[in-house]
Amino acid sequence: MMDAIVSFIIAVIVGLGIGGGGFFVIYLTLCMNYGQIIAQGTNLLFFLVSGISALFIHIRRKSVFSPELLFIIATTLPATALGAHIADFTDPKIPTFFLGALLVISGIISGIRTVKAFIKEKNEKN
Amino acid sequence: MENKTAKGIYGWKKWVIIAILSLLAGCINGFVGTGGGIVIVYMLLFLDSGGGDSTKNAFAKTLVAVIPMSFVAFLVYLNNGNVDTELMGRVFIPATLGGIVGACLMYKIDKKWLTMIFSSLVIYSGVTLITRAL
Repeated sequence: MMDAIVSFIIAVIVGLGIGGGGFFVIYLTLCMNYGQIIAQGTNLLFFLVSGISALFIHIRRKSVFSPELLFIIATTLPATALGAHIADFTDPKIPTFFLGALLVISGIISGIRTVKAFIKEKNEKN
Repeated sequence: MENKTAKGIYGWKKWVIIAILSLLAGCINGFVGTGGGIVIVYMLLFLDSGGGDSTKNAFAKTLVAVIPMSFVAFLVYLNNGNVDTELMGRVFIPATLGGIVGACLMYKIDKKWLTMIFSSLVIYSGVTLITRAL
């Protein structure tokens, strides 16, 4: 039951697009004591399920496809396969550290952007 | 005609930047199992800053880019026996419903406060993971 509730909440965050991609890894490693690599693999499947359902809503509302996007997709795929292979024979502490650093950086950037948006909104009101 | 961005990046320079950052995003997503979207969303926001692309549209585009990336990474992890499919069987329905609810809410709510809360949570989680790894 707990898994279902947590999954629903994290999937809502994924759908909102406010940086929920890593939360399921955190839940699995810190709360469920999963190993780092299996948590990452399970998170990918979780993201596919929640992300695809969110994608249908976005595609219905917006025209998201562009030449840039197709180029991005084509470029990322081989790099992703390479990264995933490297993860399999790396000390799990390295991706754990890397994910931690990534979360701290993205949290700080996201926080700064939001504070700037708050200030801008306040200035426009005054 | 090529759209010029606010930063003045256009033509081949724009494509080189996209190629480098996309390779980086792919490597991160494969290596960490997440995170490629962060690189892509900021790249789109930066490149489209003069093209009138809204933040919400950049998030939607990122989602489109991250799904094939995650699928490729998932296949590699699955092939290496690193996916708990049993757990996913249990959370499939809530994950699907949550994704739909989140995407619908994206267009209806002001996310600033939510983003602030989750940014703090993300930083805290990141520090916890770093501490654990050291």
